[in-house]
Amino acid sequence: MFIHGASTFLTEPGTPPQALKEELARVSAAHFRRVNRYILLSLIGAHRCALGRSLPADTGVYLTTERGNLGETEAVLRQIFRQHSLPMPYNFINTMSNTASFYVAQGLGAAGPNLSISDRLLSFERGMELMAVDFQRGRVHSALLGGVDEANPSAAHFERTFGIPAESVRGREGSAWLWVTDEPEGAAGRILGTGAVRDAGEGAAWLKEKSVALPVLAFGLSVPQAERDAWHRASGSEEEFDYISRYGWFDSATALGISRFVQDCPGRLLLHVNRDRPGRYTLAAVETTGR
Amino acid sequence: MERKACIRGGALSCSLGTDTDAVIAAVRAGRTPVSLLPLDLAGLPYSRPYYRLPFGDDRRESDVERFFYDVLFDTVARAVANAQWSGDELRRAAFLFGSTSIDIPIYEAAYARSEENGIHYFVHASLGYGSIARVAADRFGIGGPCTTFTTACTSSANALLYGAGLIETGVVDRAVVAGYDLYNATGFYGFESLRLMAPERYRPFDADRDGIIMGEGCGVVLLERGEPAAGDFVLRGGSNRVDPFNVTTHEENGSVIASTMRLALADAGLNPGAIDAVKAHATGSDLNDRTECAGMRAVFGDRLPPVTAVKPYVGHTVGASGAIELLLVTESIRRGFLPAVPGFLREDPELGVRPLTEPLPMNGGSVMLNFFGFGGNCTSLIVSGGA
Repeated sequence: MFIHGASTFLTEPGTPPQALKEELARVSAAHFRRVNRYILLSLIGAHRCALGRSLPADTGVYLTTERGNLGETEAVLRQIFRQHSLPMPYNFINTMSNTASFYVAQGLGAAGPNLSISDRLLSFERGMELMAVDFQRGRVHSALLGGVDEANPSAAHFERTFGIPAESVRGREGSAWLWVTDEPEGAAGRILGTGAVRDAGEGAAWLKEKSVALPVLAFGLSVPQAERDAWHRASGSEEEFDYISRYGWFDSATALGISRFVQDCPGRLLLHVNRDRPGRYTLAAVETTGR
Repeated sequence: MERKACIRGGALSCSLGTDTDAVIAAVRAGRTPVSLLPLDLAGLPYSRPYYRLPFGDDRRESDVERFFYDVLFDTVARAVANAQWSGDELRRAAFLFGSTSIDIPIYEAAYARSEENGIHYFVHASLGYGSIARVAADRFGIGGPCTTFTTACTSSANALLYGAGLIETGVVDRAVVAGYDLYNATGFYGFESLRLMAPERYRPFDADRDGIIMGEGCGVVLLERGEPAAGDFVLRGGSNRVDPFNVTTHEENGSVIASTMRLALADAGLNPGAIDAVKAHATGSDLNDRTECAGMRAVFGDRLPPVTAVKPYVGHTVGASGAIELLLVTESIRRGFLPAVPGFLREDPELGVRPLTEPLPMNGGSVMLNFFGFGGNCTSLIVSGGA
């Protein structure tokens, strides 16, 4: 799976919808009616990734998210439970996260497989895994893989999830995408794979099977500092790509980290380490080509 | 690549009950246990039919969250017990969860009780899309990849397709695939806002069809790498595509639906003539039935195999329909018949498809199962096996 495009769109929480619409107009000539914040974020990121390119018609869209259409769902609940009315039809339809992956497909003419998927803290890694299934099975030859989430407005929820003060990261909302094909020519990088391991030693062995290069490490927010040190020791690498400090954080942060690495770090190997709540590690490895 | 994702077992919770033998006996008998639910929250003076889970206790009313997990855990537990997978086998298995509503029943109950408004409250109440699957996987010690699919009415059909894919590509040897949608006001009132719900009877493909009737349920399917045992089905292929025509409807000529079916056939290594039966999505809405039938005619021409549809037994269980309907069809065939479509009386010449009106004796073969949803999502699965 060869990476031919990478994009990142980050914005501050509370950015007015009109500003998002203007941003979308800068990267797409298409007009999208009745789209909400989440769909706008998805469209901006995906269109930036494809900017100036013509995607094959059977391109797949794999949209990963932690929370999907957050604001729209709240609007529908308000209409039913507070205003005692039927929900507005398009509010209801837009509660489904695959409306965002639909609009991405419609806007970019990407009529291949179309998935909207999630896994607590590991959504983007799961998307990489399923996209790999389709490439290996020959079901796709071109795919857009994105991670999109609105800002998480609850400091309490953040602190409960990650066990660190909410103000220790710069909360953003964002949309980060990769365009991946089976064509090595002209690629900016390559996805080496995803995997699950119990500890850093196992993780280092997993990576060695894929590449002998010394990796740059990057970590999801759920990996505590003491564990990061163990990963550095096991991999023999002191380098860290701290994309969260550099760019901020949103729920689909792995997508941010990998897409930024492809854009910022030519000719390197990335090992992204993430951890689920029971403490198991999920890895993603990407190598970039030199410029 | 050889397809070897065998369906090793499963379990159901649906309007016909939880015991698979009893559920299939009810299908054979043509039972359609529908009840009426009021739309009083929206101040509307009428009701709509709905297929409720047949539990005569007050668990749901007293604690929605507990009821939600009870149904899910009970269905997974029955499926896993039937397959007798060991703890080690479960630890290395994947869990794939397909749902349209995910945790909406839980947080809308909390929202209804609260006087708070706004997204801040919502974030507290909502668990995140992937959380239900993680809770279930942790409960049963399922330690492999854990993925939630939210592709509207194709959600658990896609979970099945990719569960088989994870097995075929060697990521895992086993997958627990769950489809689950419990009643929620968002969906019930939402479909009413779209004027898609039938007022009385479920009549997919009938000339007098007048909409869908929703239902709730959970279906859990166990997939395993290996050779099929006698009577087992193999999930031998499938396809997922998007129809970019419109977010709520498919192009009326059914072209993308047809191409999804053709790609599924190619993926399974079969031609249309090798299909012994089609399980149609058959929502009963005017346009959906037209586009689906146009797609079937384009693929099968005048050699359309017997067509069944099972929503009249359990309702349209939206994201759960993939797992539930696969089990209803394969378990019926294992018991010697392909279900009829109750409610169908009068053929619609525009559709050109006449579904089964009586159960058809059948104890094996290859079946195409079709699922279509909002967001243009189209999924076709092909299973082979039985006798």
